[in-house]
Amino acid sequence: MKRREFLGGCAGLTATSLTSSVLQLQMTNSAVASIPNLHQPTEYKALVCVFLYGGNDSYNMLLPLGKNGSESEFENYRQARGSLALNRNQISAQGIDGPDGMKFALNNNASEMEDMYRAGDLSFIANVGTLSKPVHDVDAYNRLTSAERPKGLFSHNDQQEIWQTSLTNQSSSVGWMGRIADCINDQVNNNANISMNISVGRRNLMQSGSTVVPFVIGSDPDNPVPELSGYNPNNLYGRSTNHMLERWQNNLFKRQYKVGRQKAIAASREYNQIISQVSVDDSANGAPTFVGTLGDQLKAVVRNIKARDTFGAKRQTFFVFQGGYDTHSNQDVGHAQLLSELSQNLAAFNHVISNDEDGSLHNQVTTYTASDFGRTLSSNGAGSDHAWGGNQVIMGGAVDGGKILGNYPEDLRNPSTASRDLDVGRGRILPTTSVDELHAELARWYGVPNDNNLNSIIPGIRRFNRPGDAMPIGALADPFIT
Amino acid sequence: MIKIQKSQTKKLHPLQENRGILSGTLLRSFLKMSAIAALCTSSLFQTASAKIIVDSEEERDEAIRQIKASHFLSQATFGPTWPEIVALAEQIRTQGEQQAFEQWIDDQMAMPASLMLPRMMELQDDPERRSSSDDFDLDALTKQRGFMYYDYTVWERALTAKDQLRHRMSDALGQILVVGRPFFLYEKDSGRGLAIYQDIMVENAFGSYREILRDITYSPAMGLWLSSVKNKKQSLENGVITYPDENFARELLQLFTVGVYRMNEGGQLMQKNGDPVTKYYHIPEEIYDNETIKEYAKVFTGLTYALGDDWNRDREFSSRFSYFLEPMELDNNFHSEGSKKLLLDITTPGGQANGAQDIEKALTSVFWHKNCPPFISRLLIQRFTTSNPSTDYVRHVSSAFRNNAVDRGNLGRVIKAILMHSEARDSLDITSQLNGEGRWEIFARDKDTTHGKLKEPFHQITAMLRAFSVESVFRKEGDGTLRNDGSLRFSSTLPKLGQFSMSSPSVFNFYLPDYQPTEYFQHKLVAPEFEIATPSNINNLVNIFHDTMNGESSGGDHLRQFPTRMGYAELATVSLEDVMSRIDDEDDILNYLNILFCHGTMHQNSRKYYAEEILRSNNNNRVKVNTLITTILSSPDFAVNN
Repeated sequence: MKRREFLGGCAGLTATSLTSSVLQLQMTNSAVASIPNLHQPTEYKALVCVFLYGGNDSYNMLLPLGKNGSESEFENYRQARGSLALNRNQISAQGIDGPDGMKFALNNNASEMEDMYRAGDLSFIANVGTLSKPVHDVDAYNRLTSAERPKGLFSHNDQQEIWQTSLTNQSSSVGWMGRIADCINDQVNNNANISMNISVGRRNLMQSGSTVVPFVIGSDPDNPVPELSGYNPNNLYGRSTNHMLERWQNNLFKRQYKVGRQKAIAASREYNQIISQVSVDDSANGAPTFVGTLGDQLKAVVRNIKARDTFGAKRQTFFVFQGGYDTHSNQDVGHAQLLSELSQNLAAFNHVISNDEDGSLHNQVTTYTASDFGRTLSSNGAGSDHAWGGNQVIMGGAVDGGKILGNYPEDLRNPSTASRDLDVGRGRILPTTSVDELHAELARWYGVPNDNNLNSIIPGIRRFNRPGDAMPIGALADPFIT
Repeated sequence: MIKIQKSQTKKLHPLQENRGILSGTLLRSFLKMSAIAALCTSSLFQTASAKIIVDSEEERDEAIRQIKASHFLSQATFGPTWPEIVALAEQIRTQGEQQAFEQWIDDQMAMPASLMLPRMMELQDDPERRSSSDDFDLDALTKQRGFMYYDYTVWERALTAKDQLRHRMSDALGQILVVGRPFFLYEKDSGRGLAIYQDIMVENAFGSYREILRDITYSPAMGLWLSSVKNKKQSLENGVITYPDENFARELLQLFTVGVYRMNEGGQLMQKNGDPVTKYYHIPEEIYDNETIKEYAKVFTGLTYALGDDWNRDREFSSRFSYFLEPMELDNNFHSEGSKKLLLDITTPGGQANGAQDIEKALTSVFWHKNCPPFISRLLIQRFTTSNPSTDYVRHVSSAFRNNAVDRGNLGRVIKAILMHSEARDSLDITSQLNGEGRWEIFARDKDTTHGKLKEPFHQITAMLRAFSVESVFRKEGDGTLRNDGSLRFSSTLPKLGQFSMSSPSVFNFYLPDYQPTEYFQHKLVAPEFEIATPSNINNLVNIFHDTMNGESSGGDHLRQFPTRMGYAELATVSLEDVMSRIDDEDDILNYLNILFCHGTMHQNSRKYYAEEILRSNNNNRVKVNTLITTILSSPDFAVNN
């Protein structure tokens, strides 16, 4: 269990021995903060991850219809999904256009996604999942050694961990956005209390760095970061608190708590001062509005983005989440509610972001979904079980919208792509695009050059994509390639 | 007793005090240095320690016994009270430490179990106990509001139950065998369902883990939570195969018994070659794959509500029934036939479906798996004493779990091993010396600066409320009179603190056992409770302490109000009588608070500050005491159990 280890660092840096001298450590500190040729570090960009905890049954979010007016693929889908299959009237009547003349359809509960797809603000990345290396079919999968297979397949926490760290075979407490922040936080964010990595409602691994600690906003929409009541640095309580917290603590736990308290005091005061000046108007002209807890979280993200100049941030990442996707049972009602909330909130967010004052944010904010895994195509009677590859959403002005990217498997009764069998059992689909490729795509758009710097952010990327290669998925453009 | 107002403090190492004024970037590099310091444990960094000052050798010895008693009680209860500390210290004096602690544990185990359900039903159903702030709509009562009475019972048991260790243990087990409150549990009698489920743990807190595994397997609350209820064998529906649900099967293995990876007796993950995982690139061996999960999924088919229920009715419920009151039953018509290949090379017999028999075999195969003792032992140690037990500690507790196959999995033996191990009992280096004024100074230092745990936030609140003898009254429905029936009508702390009994958002509990805050990963150490110590939750916790101490109460100068927005009590009061009575003797009051809340580890410079800047200030006694207690309760010396 204690197998978490420092990994990587920015390009050109070697990990220092942990028992090294203070001198070396100081060197590490000063050297950490930079990707020297980060693309346009003075222009704002934000990445927003919407993590769908539990494993989204995304083959019931985005469904295949068929080619040339036929809906044969929909029939195959219905066969594969048995009691979980949606009826024709539960999905978009018109359908949406995919590659090669293929038509797809969205779950009616995701109708806002369909609108954004048509408007060119949203695309889907099909069948993404954790992979340690490219695996072309089930035979190849069966030949993999345990070192070549992502750890803890089909287990929630292991797979969430890989989705957040981009490390398929080791545990780490540093996520891929954390590694970016370790390298660039000091370059692009001059706020000492509020990190460039901001999470709403809970901690996550994705944004945790080896030096950068994400700032976690609470889930109470009315008071997301409560301040200490009765506290004033000059009154008796304030002075005694500060004195107590300034004491050196030998014990690691005491030290961690003391630092946590100091940061909570400082950050809550500063945060509330800044954020109280920002309002979010999502009530305009019949546009979709934020709803539920995910809506509260995304509204908080909007506030933070609007306050970016006051924070002094040129790069930010945000982590929001929606729980409840582990639909082993009650899938018909449960999944519909979840998708509906997701779709409406994504649309509300897109609406607010693309209608900002100067119109620049639309292209500067990219939002995407991530989830533990896809779910079995086959039913267990009332729901589905843990599986592997799944479909994800990517949204924003920078996205090549209205596309179904990656490889959506053919014939879901026997899922395959280019005649290669992808079913590892019960409709668990071998991913055709890796989590590493998705993260590399996002990181490159964010300004990380596709060289050694990218290797240190996404250590496994060279198994899929090489320096000089085009974007692995093609949802976003690499700003270095003109 | 000679009163000396100004006790001299020892000269400090310059480094120690310098740290107080560091800020910004300098502080950051010092934080990094501190990481190195903890690794080196050089004596240079050992200067911070705690101090208690007494007049005589007898008082010194008594104070040391009280420190040890408080330390023990902070691990084994929901918070020490002064009378309990004094009583246990006296036992230590007469019997010696080992005997006194073992006797205390034995006494606790001998107490009858104070179950959740009977008390909850008493509060819920007795018209005399209905509060005007309760919701009397029967429908509502049996749905979401049903949880309210469960929550009251959680508070009452934690705060006033005599069988404290039993409830600490059941609380810890409930964080391993997690059941939460998803929307589909907001049904008729679902609050009762939680109480019945928690009572499995209360009843068997010192009993057999194997029994608990069986009981949770048949529990309808678990059946709903992990969708094992009405899970049916593979079948053909409209020409399409429907498979058994894998949910309970997977988590039974992964979270409740053996984990995912091979472990040795000391709790280290193992590689395939038999060596422990020590480097980040070592790959631990998975002890099963998804084919195994599918086999277990077949085992847990055929379970249904004990209602003589029609299987074919919807898998979800109808509000006409109380689903949660009786264990699930097997309907073998829906149980998978044929043999199942389980762990330990156990195979269930083929032929006719026999669910009960299959389940017993399956539970045997995980309970007797080599991983089960270290896996469960480590998780339990983390709940009680330290986040990072050594391999020796885990091995010791695992071996108590195994007990050479005699009465394997006896949790009474396990908790005794956890609390009596040297890493739990001898983590403090307690020394004393005569100062220049002829008085005794007692120092309690950490032996290992990486030892200990952050107290769970709920346990921090209960420690305050128990120490100050919380009581509450409610306004009775109808005549509106104030009553005190011993109930403590407070609500869930989940929204503010991220934790409350039986309300985890997922089966992975409020925090992961391997959660590492940023500074920890360099040490390869974990600190689970920090996962929910977000800035918001930390400030909320401190505000509860602050608001309680500053809560006006008319009954007397020593009374304070626990914020009633914490629940549905009309009024809740804590008493600072004991503290207030010591206010004129600064050493006495500081010794008292140091022992009660910090088991002697209050930072000596904080202590000096409290004396000079708070107790000797011009403020009135009320302000002094409020500030003093709030500061101490919100300090690392209280929040961390080391």
